Amino acid sequence: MKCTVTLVCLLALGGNSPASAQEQTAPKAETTLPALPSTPSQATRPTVIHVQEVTLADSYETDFRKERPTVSSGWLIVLRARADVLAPRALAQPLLLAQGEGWTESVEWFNHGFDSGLRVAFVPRTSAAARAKDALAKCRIWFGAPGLPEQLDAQRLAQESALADAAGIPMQRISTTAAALGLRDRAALVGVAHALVARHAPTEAVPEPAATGAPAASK
Amino acid sequence: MPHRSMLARRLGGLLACALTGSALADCGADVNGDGIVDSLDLGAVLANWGQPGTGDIDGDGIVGGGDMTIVFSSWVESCASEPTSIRLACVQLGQAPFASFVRVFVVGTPLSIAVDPALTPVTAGANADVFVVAARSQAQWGGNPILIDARGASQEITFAAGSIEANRFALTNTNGLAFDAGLAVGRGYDIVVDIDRNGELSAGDLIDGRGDESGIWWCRDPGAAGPLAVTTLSSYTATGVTAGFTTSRLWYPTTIATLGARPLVVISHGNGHQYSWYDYLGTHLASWGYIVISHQNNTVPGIETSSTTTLEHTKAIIAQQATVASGAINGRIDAARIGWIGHSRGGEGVVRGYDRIFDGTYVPVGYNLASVDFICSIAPTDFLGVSSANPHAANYMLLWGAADGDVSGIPTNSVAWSFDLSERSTGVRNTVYVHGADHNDFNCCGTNDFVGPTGTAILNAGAQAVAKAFILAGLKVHLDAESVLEEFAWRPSTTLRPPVVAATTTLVKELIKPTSAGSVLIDSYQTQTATTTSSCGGAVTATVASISEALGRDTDGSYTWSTGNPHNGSIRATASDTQRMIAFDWNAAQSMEWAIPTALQDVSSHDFVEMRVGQGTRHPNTVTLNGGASFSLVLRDADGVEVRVSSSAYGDAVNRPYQRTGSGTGTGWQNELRTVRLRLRDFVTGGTGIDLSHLVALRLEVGGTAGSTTGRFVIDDVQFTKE
Repeated sequence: MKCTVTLVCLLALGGNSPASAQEQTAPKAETTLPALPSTPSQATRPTVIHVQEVTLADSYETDFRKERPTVSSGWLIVLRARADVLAPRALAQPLLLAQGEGWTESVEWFNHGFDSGLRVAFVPRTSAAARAKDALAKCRIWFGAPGLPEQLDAQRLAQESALADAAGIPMQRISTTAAALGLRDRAALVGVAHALVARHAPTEAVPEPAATGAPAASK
Repeated sequence: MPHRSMLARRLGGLLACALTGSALADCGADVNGDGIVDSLDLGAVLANWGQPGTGDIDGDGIVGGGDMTIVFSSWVESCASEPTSIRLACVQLGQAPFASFVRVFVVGTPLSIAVDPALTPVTAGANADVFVVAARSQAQWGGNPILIDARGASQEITFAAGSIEANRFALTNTNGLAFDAGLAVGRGYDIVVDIDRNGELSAGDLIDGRGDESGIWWCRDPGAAGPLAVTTLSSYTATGVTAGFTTSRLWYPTTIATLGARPLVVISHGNGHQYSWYDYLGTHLASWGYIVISHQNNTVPGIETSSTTTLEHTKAIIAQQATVASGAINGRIDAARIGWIGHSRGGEGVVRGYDRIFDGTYVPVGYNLASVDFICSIAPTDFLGVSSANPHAANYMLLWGAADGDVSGIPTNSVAWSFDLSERSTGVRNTVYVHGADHNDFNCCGTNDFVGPTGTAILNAGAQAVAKAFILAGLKVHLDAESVLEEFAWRPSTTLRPPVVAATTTLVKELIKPTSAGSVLIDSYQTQTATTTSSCGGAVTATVASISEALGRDTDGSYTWSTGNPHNGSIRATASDTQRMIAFDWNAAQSMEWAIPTALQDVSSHDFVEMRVGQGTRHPNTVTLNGGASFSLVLRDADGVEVRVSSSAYGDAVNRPYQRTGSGTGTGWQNELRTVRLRLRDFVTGGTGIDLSHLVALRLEVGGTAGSTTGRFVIDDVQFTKE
């Protein structure tokens, strides 16, 4: 069943951070780049604090897989994880992966979450198994080995699955909110995701462009 | 072509000492008509001795003693019917060759001239007037020879007996020289030594800048704010761009309406960075006349997506110029002049974007491959490798901090080897490796990733000063035809440093030009891979030790020195790359000599002999040396005349590697190559008589009196180049 909920309702879920859209201008000296932890591991598993099913009227091709499969639905999620695994890096970061019965997906993400410990992400449902009604009844979301999502192909997904098994990453049930959120397209999905970022990770929020296009400052 | 005789050269040297300025010229003695009576004319006389014809100056029907007497009596006198065009402007040096002839001088720094009596007809004890004249073209000089000193008054000098060392003159009152040059960083002046003191450029006078290029370029600090006020549009929405990455910031000169079309500069941030973190650079470049955007960059999936957002935003701002900023930049973007600057993954992304256009897998709208005249990568990653992250023949600049804790240069991970990208470039490329700068020093707000010795951090302010100065210089060279600023890319910091950059900041710079720029390549190590043969086919003989010619690639994943890994510390080539170089060490007076094949022996129209040189990190000799390394270059002509010039004369040694630890045992990070350029003119100073049209060998000497007593060098791109 698909229904439409308001953004206000969605934002009310899953956290207590005040909503605030501002640019990050904090002095860098206050934070240092932590060493990259070994992944996958039990210690670096994220905690899922919010899941919202989403359907899209217009599908898109995901940038997070080499094969660029088509996406028309998925789960918008908010994760809590360790800062060292979330820290943005120029070099390869741990891949974010999701897996259930008969499906494995490369998870898209909209912010890093280094400051807040919270990452807003989207699990696309690119396979029939992932689109099954009870796809989250037995599943896992974890940080895999470092890599570039755009280079992630089916073979690498299989390798990551094996690594997760070896690391003892367990399957578990993840509950979703009752109704799916119907959105027009990926742009709308990004809009909702950015609103979540503004709420949960305000230092990473992207300011809304000036409506008029008029210069905002001058020297 | 016959060589000048050895006798003529030796006699010439003696006579130059004995007869300088002692007699009036008989211009019939200028046998070869080059405007001066010297060893060339003596050689012509001797070559035809006892014969009629050339050299019969006194007209008695045979070349003999009378003709030689006339030559001697007119020795080094000028017979010019025109002013003599020579380089005069220089930086004074503490040792031979005593003067480094250059064009760029930063306002407030010493400006000198030097005259070499062995090469230029001047009379000891004679006075002359030096004029610094607002630059004129050749045609303008032809139409207006009147000398007007831009300092307010000319400067009297007195020539001294002896060498060039005694004939160097610091120019006074240079603070009176105007430096307002509109959007140009510098302003041109010509320098004239008015020998006959008639207040005009006339026969026998000396001029630096008689052609269409000025003698000197009197520069503002390229790291300081430019002349224009800047307007910032904090954000606008680009259309036709990947969802989620549509926001961009815009900087432009407030007076853009009065400027005409200006180049576009696009800044692409790195992973985890934001488009709003480059205000320092956007504001700076706009103050010098550029239209600059910094856009959201899709870096998380990888480099392909990052390149897509760069390509899309470039297209979008061109397409939307009528509406963005209420149309303030409408019609003002010159889409034929575009610069791309990328940081980190964005630094690789801009290269990938260029590569996609080059390969035809992306077709730009509103611009094309040739439009992208300048690419700058700041600490770029190398995820994609040679086939996809390749700047091809673009004008390419790499800026990288030695204390980078992210794209670190660690030998275990070639993704962190920024130099790979510059090594792939086949265009004009330059690199600036900055000691004490970390990855996020080049933006405002990233995490602190500094890894280096305590007390060496130059922080954001230091790194951004370097970025502002050198990126601006690169843009001006490639997008605004202010080509003389290329001197910033190779001159030692001891003779040319943007004042905004601290004197204590170590900058390791490379400038490499393709052979299409007229270079004579002696050894690039890409072909003729035996150590006994150079790329140009000449023999290579060496007494230095442990010579290894191979890929510039550290193969054991550690910076610990190992004899089994002779290119330890070189991270210039992945396994798929082809960039080769040579390494060797020494503990005594030793050398490496390149024989120059006949077809390449005439370098008389070239300006420099140069090579890239770096110290081998953590090698025992490097550790023992524990400081800058020096060497000498020797040129030998067909007559066996050898001239030696020391690299240390220019005041800037081949620096010690940044003293960073990690990656095994020992101290010192990657091998840092720098371009060492010695001007060929410096080998002629003092009337050495070396024949640059018949060079048979180039030799690098180390140890003994030639340079550092011990060390290990990595060398590449030995060549003769043009300015």
